[in-house]
Amino acid sequence: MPTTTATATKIAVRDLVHRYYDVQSHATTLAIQGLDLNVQDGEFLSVLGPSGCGKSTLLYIIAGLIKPTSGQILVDGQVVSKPGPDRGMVFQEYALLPWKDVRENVGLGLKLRGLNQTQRTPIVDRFIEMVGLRGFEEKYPHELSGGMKQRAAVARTLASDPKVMLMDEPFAAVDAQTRITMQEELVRIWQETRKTILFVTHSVEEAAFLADRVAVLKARPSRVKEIVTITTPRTNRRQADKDPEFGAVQARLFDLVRAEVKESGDSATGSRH
Amino acid sequence: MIAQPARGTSLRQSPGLAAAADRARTVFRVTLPFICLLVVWQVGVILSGLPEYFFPSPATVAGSTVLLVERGILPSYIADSMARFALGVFLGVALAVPTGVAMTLSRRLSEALMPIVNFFHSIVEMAWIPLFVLWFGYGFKTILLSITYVVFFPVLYNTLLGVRTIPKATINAVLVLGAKPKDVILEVLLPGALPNIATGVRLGAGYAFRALIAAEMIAAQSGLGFMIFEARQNQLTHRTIVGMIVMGILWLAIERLYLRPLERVTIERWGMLRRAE
Repeated sequence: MPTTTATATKIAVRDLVHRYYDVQSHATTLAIQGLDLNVQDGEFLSVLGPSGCGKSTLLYIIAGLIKPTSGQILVDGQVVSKPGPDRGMVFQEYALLPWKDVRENVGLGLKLRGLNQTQRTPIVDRFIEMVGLRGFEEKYPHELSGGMKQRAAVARTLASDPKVMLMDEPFAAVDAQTRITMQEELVRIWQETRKTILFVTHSVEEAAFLADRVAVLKARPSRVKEIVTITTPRTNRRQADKDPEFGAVQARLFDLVRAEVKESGDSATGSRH
Repeated sequence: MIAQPARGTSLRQSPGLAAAADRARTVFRVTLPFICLLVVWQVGVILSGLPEYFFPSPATVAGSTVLLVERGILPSYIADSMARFALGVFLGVALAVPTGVAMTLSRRLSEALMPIVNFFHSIVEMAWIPLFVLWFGYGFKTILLSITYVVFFPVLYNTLLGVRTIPKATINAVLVLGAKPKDVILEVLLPGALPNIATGVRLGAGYAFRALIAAEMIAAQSGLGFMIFEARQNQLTHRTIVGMIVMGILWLAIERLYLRPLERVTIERWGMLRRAE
């Protein structure tokens, strides 16, 4: 019998293995080996790792877009193997439909579920408001900045009311200033909606600012190397120097990632000296 | 004298008039080369002194046009030709787009069909006409089939190209929203490929227009191609020239009224040209 204090596991990744065949090099690569991970209900969990470590692959497998070689993904205790609206995903490249305006893009998931225009409008308007895109409902993606496109993509994901939100380096392509704003807005939206978020990034600062817990992945073949819990309130996280405890957590994350970058032999990717 | 406004000012004061003047200038710019051509033609007829049946003058051709319109021959031939053209283009597109989409969905189907498609693409539609005539006789079916045949290939190739240029992430985004295969086709593949399909239709329509006239010369009892070809046998050379001029004007009209707007709407409104940014 589960106790009332225990939080429910929203996503469970069980002994995941992923091997793929590369057409160009004619070689089989073992990308993920024996990866286990539990994401709690309502939690904000960041997945951090050196580039090429398979963190995006993990997200695509959870989304059902890539079939793993072996292992299981459970959402609310149910095994999932195909994409479904219970797992929403936000892509680095926004992936909005260029021929639909903001309102149609945001309402797409609802339309696919069979809701008509009148049923969709209040939901769509609510999430457009939430991401701060009011007044841009009739704009097409090419008329929006990168940050605004990603806001629309977040609204599109939220409008479908998924159980979990999978985010694949969503702010990697926007400028530094916008990125900071987007991170803060995401925290606000997460607090408002209480969605479970799995957020993949290669930025230590980003992971440390956003997450309740940070799962650091090992270099290829990847699995979880260590999970770091962050208890510092998010309001204190922007100035690591003023909060020694948070500063220490961030330094620890840097160390873990740096060790993995060295491990992968990829000296070109940002190892700090 | 002093109270009279300068010419430029009066134009600027009434935008309607300025627009009309602009339009008149455009019409003049487009028609001037044709007027020059007519003059050269007339001068050529006079200087050469050739008989009318050999080298008809613009005046004879104009008279012939009036007669053909009065007798209702030209309107009915134009209607016949355009009906064949429109239906043929429609059928070609209706066959090519689903085939193209199916080929992008199934690698096996694509591998099986591609060599056959490429093989038949190299066979010009004129080569089929003897067989079409044998199977379907002279007339509507044979001409329709020739047009459908030439439209099919450019539309198919451009559909394939269009679907392949759709970023994988766009398809993934729709899948994670719960899209079924039918939804992926209707919401992503078709609209995403539409600018390329429009290009294919424009190309195909151009080929089809030529194929129409060629097929009508051989396999029809009516239509512009028939008129152009048959006139020569009766030494009504001016009718051949009427047919040629009508062809040119019809194509310009089809281009301007249907094909260009189709391309403009899909490409410009969706910002497709800027997709590569």
